[in-house]
Amino acid sequence: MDKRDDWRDGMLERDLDAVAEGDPSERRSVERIARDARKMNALLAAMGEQLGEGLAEGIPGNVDERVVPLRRRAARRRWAMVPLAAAAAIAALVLVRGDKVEEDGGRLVTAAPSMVSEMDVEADGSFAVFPTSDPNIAVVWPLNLEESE
Amino acid sequence: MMEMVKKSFRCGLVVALALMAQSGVANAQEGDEAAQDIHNVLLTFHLVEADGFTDDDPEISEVVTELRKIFNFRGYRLISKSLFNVGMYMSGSDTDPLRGSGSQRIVVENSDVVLEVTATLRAAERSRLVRGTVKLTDITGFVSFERRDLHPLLEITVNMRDGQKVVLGSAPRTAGEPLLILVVTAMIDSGG
Repeated sequence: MDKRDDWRDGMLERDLDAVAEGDPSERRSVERIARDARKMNALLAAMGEQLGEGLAEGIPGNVDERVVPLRRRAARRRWAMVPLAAAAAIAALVLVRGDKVEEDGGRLVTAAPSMVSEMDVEADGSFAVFPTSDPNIAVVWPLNLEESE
Repeated sequence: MMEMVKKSFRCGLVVALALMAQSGVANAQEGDEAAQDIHNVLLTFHLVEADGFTDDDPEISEVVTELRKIFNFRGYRLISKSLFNVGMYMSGSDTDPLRGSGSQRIVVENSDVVLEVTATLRAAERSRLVRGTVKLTDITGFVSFERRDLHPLLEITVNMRDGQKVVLGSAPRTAGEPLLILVVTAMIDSGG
């Protein structure tokens, strides 16, 4: 993992590194997971900011930050928590329901765990399930197969 | 401060519950659609050879687009397409009582290679999901003989949704030959 600084959760990073040590295809899978996680983090941050901005614009008298009464500041902080809580709730639902989200014209799939469990694959040897950006296509790949360089 | 946190939490909870209620309605609608048993499953098999072919084949372009994101094979060639219809019948089994199976030979163009694909399906009553065991075997030279002991190139059991394409990697027929990839598409007919 050459971009390990992007990982905030050190424990997760170590776990993924341990999994990926053995096989090139597993390593690629781990890299895809890491990339998707970064995209999801960016998406959640953007959602939070958008919700926060929309609410702030709706507050009347927002002319000069220095003259906002203390009581009003407290109210603003309180309301600022609402979009964050809502964003967290929505994010949790998106992750649990496994829906896909559009980001920069590309389709970001968060359905990996649900698709893998839904498919419930059985095979003689080890295999990997690769969810794709198309929810109707799943790849099941035996791990002992060589990949072209 | 605590009051503020509590209030924010309550607001978040309300939003979450509202969205969950919406999700519940959608699931209930899906449940209505799945009220009938599966009658037939039309299985389509695209046999694809990895490597050696860099042109795009429109028949498998969707799958190839996804495979290119995952693997580094130089290309993908569609070497055969076959399909067969599996009629599902009610068995005496307690679990997944709907059963069906079928098999078909695949003769690869411009070669002596003969493969056999078999599918054994089962499903629960009023389900929109089939569980299938798909087996691909090289039967070249054994077409007219008993071939019980032939080791399959792939044998995988997997759940399939209606219209879902399951891409299955398989072992090469012989060392040094390109890998074979079997793309299975299940079209489920519940008679509705």
